[in-house]
Amino acid sequence: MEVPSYKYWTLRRIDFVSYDAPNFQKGYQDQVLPLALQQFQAWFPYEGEPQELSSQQDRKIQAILLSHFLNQHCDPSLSSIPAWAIAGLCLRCYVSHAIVQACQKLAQQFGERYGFSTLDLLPLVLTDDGKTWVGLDSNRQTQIILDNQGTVQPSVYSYFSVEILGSFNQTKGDLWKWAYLLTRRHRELNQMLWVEFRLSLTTPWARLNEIKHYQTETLSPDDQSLVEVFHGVYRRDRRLSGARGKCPEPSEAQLLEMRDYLAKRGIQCHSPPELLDRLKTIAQFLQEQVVNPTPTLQPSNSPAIELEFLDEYRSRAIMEAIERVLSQRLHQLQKNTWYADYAVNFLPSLRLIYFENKSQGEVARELNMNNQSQVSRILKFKQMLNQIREQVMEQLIQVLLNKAGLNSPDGVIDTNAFDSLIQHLTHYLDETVFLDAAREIQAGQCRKMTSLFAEKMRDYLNYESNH
Amino acid sequence: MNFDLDSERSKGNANSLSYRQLQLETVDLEPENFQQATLLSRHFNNEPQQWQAYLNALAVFALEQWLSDRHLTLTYQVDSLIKTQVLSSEAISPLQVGNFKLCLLSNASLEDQEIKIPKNMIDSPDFAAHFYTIIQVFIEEYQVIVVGFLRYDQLIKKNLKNTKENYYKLSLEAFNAEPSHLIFNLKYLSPAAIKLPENRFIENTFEQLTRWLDQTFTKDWQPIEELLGKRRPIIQMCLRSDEATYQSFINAVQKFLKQFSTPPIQEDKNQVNLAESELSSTEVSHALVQVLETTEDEETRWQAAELLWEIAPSHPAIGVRRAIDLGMQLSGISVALMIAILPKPNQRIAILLRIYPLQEQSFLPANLKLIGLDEMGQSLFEVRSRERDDYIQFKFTADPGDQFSLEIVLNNATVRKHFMV
Repeated sequence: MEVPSYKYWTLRRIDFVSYDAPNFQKGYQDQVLPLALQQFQAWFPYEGEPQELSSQQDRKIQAILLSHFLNQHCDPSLSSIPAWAIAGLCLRCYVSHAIVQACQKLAQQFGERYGFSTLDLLPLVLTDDGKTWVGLDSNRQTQIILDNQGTVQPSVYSYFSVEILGSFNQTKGDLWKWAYLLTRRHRELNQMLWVEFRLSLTTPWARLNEIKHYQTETLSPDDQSLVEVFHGVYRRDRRLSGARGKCPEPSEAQLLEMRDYLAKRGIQCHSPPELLDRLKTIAQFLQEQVVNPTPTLQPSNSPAIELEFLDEYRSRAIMEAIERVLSQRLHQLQKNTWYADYAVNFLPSLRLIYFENKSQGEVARELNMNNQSQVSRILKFKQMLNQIREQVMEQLIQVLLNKAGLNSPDGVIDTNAFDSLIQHLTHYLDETVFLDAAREIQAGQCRKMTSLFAEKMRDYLNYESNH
Repeated sequence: MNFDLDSERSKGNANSLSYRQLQLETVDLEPENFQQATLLSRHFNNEPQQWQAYLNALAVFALEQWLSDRHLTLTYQVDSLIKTQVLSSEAISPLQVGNFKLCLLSNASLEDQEIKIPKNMIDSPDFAAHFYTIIQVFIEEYQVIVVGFLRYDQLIKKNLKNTKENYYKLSLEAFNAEPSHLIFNLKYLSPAAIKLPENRFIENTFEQLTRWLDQTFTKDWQPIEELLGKRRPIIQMCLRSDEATYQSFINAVQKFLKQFSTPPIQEDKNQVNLAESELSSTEVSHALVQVLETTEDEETRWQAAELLWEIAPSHPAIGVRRAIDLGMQLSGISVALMIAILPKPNQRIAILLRIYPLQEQSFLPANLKLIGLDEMGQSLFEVRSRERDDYIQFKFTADPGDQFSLEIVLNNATVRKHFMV
């Protein structure tokens, strides 16, 4: 792979203001950092001109930059910026390009299907503005910053780009791939993709855990044994430890145990790294878990039902459902061990969203919460909307049942008549209320809270703040 | 406003997505769910089953939570889900919400865009359910998605593909992707409106009577007291009297015991009324047990047993008796079949069959037949009710392992039950 050398001195920074073309927002802009450019040219006079670098050159450059970056005592002259800080900045530039590429790749792979774009992802991972000199202490875990007075102190904020550098192992691979991989594994990013878009970026290990019978049938006999042995060890440990969250890479001990079981089956040879690679290769061919619901309403042969008369019941049903669901959610938050402290932010968050068209990310900043996914977890917006919709439907079902005389004397409702009734009702409510409501809370889109539902939410929030 | 559902929805941009394509129905898994699932999975022997049980348990807990948020209660017998190994299979049934039966289809049943369901989960009356619900567990995200559901009457109309391994397969599209509709079905429909494969198949299942001695019963066989209530057939049998009082019952016991020279009834007390003699019920039951153990005459043993049922219903010496309500299967006429079994000293089993009227009726309808058949279907006996019979009965003795069937016939309706001793 050829890499243009400018990546070492141009930083990709988050930018939602500028447009590439009318209506085309990239979400980032490239900024040339003169200090990084100068020092880079001094260190690498030959490669310093904008050009394509061979991967060999690239690796050599990275090795040198990393050794400068990690060796903070190599340049004691504090009159100028130390070499480690500038080397770090060059590497942070390089990593920023890889982060953007990882986001673009995700959007390309899943964006259309799940309804998100690069713009939704970048704010979570492209967090380095290049304005601070950041380094790592000797254990390579704690981030430090160099201030204008030349003093070094622990950093309060953890820069994702520097986390990537800190965890990178030169002997094992290249920095670009590492940055790409860590971006895909980024915790907040994964959470947001799931909570907002229902995309689960499953780890290879979760995919191997979930492998289906029909999938194992296509594997070679040796690979089938490999998967069985993996299950015997990895699933067992996962289940018994009660572990939650993303599945970590199998540990050395687990791999050794798997190797022993394989030996018993007459399959020799695998060193732990080999075993790991083979498992990853098998996992690569397994699909992501996809939830792909088909449209709800099946064509119905029943005659259409006049539902216009429900308009007069609808507004009241929505208001009542909003009130019930919101107060229930607030109550849940107040008694929740983890979120009780944030319960006070619940209604203000909703006000920012429905009165000021703020995104959840903006809400997080305004209310001093850590990040967007924290806001999502408090609001549980999607679950709330589902509940409100269901309660509105139920209230109107009762109106319809009474009106349609489906409540037969023996108390048994005809199933087909009932199906038709709730299908029509669902269609009516979705078309008039809930589809708009669901569309406008999709993250990342230009928010304009203009739906009937949003209007009712504002009515409720107004009413609530006056009482 | 008219909706023509056939013409709506086209493919294309995000604006044409349905509500459920934008908003899936999710349920959060709590830390304690994971702990409980781990515990349950330990009941299974090998890793594939343990893992499956683990995921399934998570799915059941999430479904339980989801329903409970809507004031619906999911009930299930954990023991039997484990014993039948249902908990480690692709489909978990029977779960119940009120009188509805639910079958949960979890991760293992999902194959790409197809759902596979073990055949017995649809065909067998023990597992067939009113609703089949797909729950997908996302273990890394601590969440499940309620993917969709299908009602039994709709399911059997679908194109069910047979597979070699005893599964049916059907397309995911066949399912209703609107989970709220499941809630409304559960709240507003009646189980009676959805006919399950009950009677047709129940005929082929044997009730094993000797397992009753280990207190193992299938659910339709209830304790006598629950089904027959305060009806006291014993007194009517002994006295043929309409006056069922405690006094007359005691007299009957005394009269019965007098036939034997058992210790509690001593010569000098012969002239004294038993009730006044302050013989404790322990002494009386002791005397009756002795009769049971020493007498070989079948009729006498049953009489002693019946008296003991009244005095000491939980005494271990008196065998077991249970009853089943046949009303639903006999054109609505409320009658119960009672079976009592009494082990004999020679390892054989004495069996008493009796049909009682239920509810407010004092008498059986006339011309109700109780027919016994051997394992080849040959008739063994037939008993028929007359006008104003308060019950009909038949007694016989069999060996463990023997098979027989009973037919209860009234007019055009027949109920058949199969038994193994």
